[in-house]
Amino acid sequence: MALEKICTLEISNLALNIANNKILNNISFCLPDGEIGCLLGPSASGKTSTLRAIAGFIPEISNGKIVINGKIISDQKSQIPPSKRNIGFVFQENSLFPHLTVSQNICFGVKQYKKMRLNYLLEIFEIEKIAKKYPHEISGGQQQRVAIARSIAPNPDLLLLDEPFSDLDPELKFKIFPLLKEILNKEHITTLIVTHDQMEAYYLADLIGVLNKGELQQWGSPSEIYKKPKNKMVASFIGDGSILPAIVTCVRGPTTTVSTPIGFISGASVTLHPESKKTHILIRPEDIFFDKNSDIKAKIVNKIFCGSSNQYLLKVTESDFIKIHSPSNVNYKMGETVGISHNFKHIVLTD
Amino acid sequence: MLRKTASKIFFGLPFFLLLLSLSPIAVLVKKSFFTNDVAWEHLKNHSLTSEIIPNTIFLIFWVVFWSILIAIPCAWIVSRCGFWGRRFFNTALILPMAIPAYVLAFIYKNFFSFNGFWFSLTGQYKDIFYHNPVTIGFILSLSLYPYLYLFLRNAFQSQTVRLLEASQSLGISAQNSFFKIILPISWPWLAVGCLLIILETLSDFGAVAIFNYNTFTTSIYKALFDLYSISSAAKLSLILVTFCFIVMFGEKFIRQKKNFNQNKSASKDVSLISLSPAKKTLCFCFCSLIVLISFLIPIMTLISWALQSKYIVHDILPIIYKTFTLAMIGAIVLTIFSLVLYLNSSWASKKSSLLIRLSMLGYALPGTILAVALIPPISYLIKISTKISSISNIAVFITLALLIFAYLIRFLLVGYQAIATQAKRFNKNLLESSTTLGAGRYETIKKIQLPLIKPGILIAFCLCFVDISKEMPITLMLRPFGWDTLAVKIFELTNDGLWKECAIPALLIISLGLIPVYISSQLSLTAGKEH
Repeated sequence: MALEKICTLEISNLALNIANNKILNNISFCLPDGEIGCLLGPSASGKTSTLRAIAGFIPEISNGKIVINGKIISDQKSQIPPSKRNIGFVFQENSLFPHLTVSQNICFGVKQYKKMRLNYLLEIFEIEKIAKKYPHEISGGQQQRVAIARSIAPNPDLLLLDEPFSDLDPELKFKIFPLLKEILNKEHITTLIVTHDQMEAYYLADLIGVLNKGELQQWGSPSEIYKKPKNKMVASFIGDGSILPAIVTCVRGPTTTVSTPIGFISGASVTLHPESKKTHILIRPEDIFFDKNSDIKAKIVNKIFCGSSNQYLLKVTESDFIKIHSPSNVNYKMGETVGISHNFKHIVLTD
Repeated sequence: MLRKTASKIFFGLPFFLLLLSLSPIAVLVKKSFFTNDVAWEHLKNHSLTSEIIPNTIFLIFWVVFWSILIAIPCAWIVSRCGFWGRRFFNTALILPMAIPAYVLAFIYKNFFSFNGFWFSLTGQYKDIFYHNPVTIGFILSLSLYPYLYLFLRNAFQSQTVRLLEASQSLGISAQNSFFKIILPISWPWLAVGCLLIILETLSDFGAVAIFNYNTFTTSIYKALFDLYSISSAAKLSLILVTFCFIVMFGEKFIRQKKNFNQNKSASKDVSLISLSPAKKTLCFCFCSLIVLISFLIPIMTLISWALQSKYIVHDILPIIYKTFTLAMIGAIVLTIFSLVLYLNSSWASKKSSLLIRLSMLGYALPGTILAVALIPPISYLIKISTKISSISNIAVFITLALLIFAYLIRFLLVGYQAIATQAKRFNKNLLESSTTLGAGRYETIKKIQLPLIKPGILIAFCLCFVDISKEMPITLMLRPFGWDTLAVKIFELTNDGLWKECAIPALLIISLGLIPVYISSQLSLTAGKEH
């Protein structure tokens, strides 16, 4: 077994109630040293609250504890003030000090070797040219780069980013990502990012946590979250998928076979289910393909042109639908009945 | 250790201020419940229900009536209709704010008097202001309508832009959509503006005194200085305070219920409603008429009087000096307290932010009431201090200190709001950013907050300075002997019928009053640029 990595950020049983509303409940995860974690979730799922609790902006937590590098920074008994936590925080909106220049902003939290640190950061963030300008004189993308540079300038133990790119247009976003990932890896900064954009999470994160209704649904690597979602919420929230009813018909070793509206499907199941149990199966678009010779028929009820591919919505039974992607040079008509086949390596069953 | 005590004092301040602003009410309660005299019997039986209350209510009705009649059309045509001079009237219609109601009052009283302009023009004389709330209300509304105008202009310009466009796209004409959509959704602005006007009318003393129209404030003054009955004055004051607090809480309630956040959609790209030439002329004439009677006629009258006035520099200089001294001290004290209170509120929890808001409720106390409440403590303090100290001017110092204290209670909100408005332009996350970068509270205040709100502090100082120089009833009733300010001088001169001699003090007050008008127009300009 590999040695377990040292946790920079460790959260156990974190709960937060505000005016009898459960904002967060029983959140536990561990972010290893130097890795980038990402909290994903629909709006009002508690992502930002978790981040603010870690930063110390929330006066008191209701239960659990937050530990950074083995030191408790927050529990029910005591709270270390935000200024003493050594955590960097980047906000969604522009939070640069408007009366200070870019250089002065970056140096704000630096105690020693200001000049050296500043020059280094200006260089790696490629913002030397705007060093003497004021925040209102630079673009939104530059503002966010300066904000990140400012928050890592004092060498924080942990960097928190609260939807830092949601105000930027997509093109700009994908220009910043490689630079940011490179810097974070090089500087070995443990980072936790909150976002609602899955692409952002896949691009940046080593670990992803999915939050819903104040509870952490799953914490794992991006491929783990995508391929082995722990429950229906994660399965439907992450990626593009359809869920069909299924009945377990046969379990042979690691291989489980289920009966579904599109026929029998077998594959290695992530979770164990007893035979004849009624459950649901997650169907990803890439698991399904058109097949003229197949006996399984479905009707095309919707079609979206997406450039290189087409997205079809197929009606399998009265109440069940699945999605399918196909190259756009093969065309099917709306209302057409087509044959489909599937190819599963492993199957995901959820209740 | 020192920091801890400093922090305790710092966060204890709102509570301390709340106690201070409640103390005048405590004095009033004590004075009215534990003493009784003949004067009160007389007032209660002969004037309270037959004169004071109806007079006040009628006056309020007519002030609000006229203000609405002036402010709604002005705000609408200036913000939405295209006509010649629109930009000019946009600002010109706020100018009357610079003229205190009592100045307008003596100008128009003279205008319609025996030796006034109207008489020389028509040869007819009728005292149209004699016990007449309709005309007196009109004069008051000339100086008060800008409050409502500003609120409505704001509502019409920001809030309703997209809705107007939506309703037009649904086939409703611009004129119809005003009554169907704009007016119904602007009602909170209308209501808040009206309640502020009511509060101002309730606390007005100078104008009604000049017209000899008995309302609460003048009756309180008379009870004190004609009947020498502090208990009657205190009783009347308590009734008036109740009215004022009802109005104030009504205003707060509406503000809280309705979201006053401005829609940030730019108002520049909105096309103005095009009018027929006849309607354009009508708009122009209406706005011109309002500016003429509320600003130009008074100013011209004052200038012509000033030229004829026998008042010479020698007489006016000591008064300017005293006004300046009082306003300076008062404004410095107010600015310091407003600043500390603001810093306090930006770091406070939700519970104490309620306390902070409560600590400023003194703005709803009419000056007359504050003065009545502070007279007993002043005389008490003077009595004690003359016994234990032999400093000759001790009585003057004590009186001045309590006068400044009265200003503090009355105008704290003005200073606080000036600073808070400035600070609102910056995101709250600046403070959080600063703390995550390792800066503690004191460092953040020093390095981030103070530099950012500097202009707000300056504005707070200016506004408080101007408000104190214009203030009449508190200064009139509490000032130490010989400390006449410009406003007090105007009261005394009009009392003696020396209208023309008032011109120079009045012009000085008006030119001071133009400073806040300038500031507010500049602020709305920069706000427009930012979006």
